[in-house]
Amino acid sequence: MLSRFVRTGLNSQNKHQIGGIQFGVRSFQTSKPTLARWEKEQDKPPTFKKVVDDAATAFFMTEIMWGLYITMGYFFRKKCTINYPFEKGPLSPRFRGEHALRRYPTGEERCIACKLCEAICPAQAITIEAEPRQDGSRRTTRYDIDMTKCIYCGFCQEACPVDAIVEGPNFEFTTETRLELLYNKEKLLANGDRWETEIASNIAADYLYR
Amino acid sequence: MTEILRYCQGIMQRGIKESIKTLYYTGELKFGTLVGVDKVGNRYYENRQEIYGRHRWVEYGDYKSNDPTTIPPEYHSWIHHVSDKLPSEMLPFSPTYKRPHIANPTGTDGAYTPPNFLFNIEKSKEELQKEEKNDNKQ
Repeated sequence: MLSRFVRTGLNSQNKHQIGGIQFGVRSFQTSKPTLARWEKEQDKPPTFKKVVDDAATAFFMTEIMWGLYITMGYFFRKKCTINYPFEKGPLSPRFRGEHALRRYPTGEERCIACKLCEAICPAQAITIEAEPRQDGSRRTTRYDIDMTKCIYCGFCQEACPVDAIVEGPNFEFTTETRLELLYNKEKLLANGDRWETEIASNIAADYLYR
Repeated sequence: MTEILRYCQGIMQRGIKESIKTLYYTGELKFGTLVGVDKVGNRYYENRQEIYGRHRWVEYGDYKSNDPTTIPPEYHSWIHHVSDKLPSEMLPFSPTYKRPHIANPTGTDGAYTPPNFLFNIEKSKEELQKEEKNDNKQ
């Protein structure tokens, strides 16, 4: 019974029509499964030409030679693998790397402790404590970023109203110990002082889109 | 074939001894125009005929420890293809309060550690004691 069903199922053309209604055993496929090349030729006896050709390809290793030819072709071709650290991959001027706190051209720090970056930080990596300074201006007494928590989303630099916290172009700040990545304000300002040249040039390059 | 030609031109530019050294330490022998040399002695080259993305490269001054963090920000944007600005064109962006660039100091004594790290606390305690002694003397 089952075998009959299967057989009729395979022959999808074999459909009975009674009174205009099509019925029959529905097949799993709409058409006959295409046979692989070797399955078709399986039944045919091999010709003399084919036997000689197969023997020749096997004996002279033509396929291996062809493969080696392609290998040698690529061996002498120009390589496109970047040889880091001598060559370096392309970066965007908007690249989000190591954080830095910027200063005004006078040397006054920009951060006004509005805590917008702390509020928007999805990883809650930023901690800020603020106090009015002796001259009355509101500044941070503590600005910590846990770089191990940070996900480098760049929300902090987007939230900042005075462009104080930015993610600089430097990404090579790996450390041997974890605690070296718990940045405080001093370290962030130092980063800003070191990288300001490039940060400023990147901001200038992007001025049309800001 | 281009690779062989390139190696020949590389040897022509540097001389045999120098080219063996660069081949050993960088694994590559390229030739190009010298764009600049920075304070640490890193040499920056460019050759537009190379494959795009590999046409700018550094040869480090300290060729035994090739440290990419020694690249100062003036050359950093150029070597990373961020811009075509050379250090002379980056000068107007350089602020008055600029600090000298340092290589990644991790693993050395100059490495940054947060102030509430145990050693730093001990250090600050010692400094305080010294100050107190000085005050007593005065």
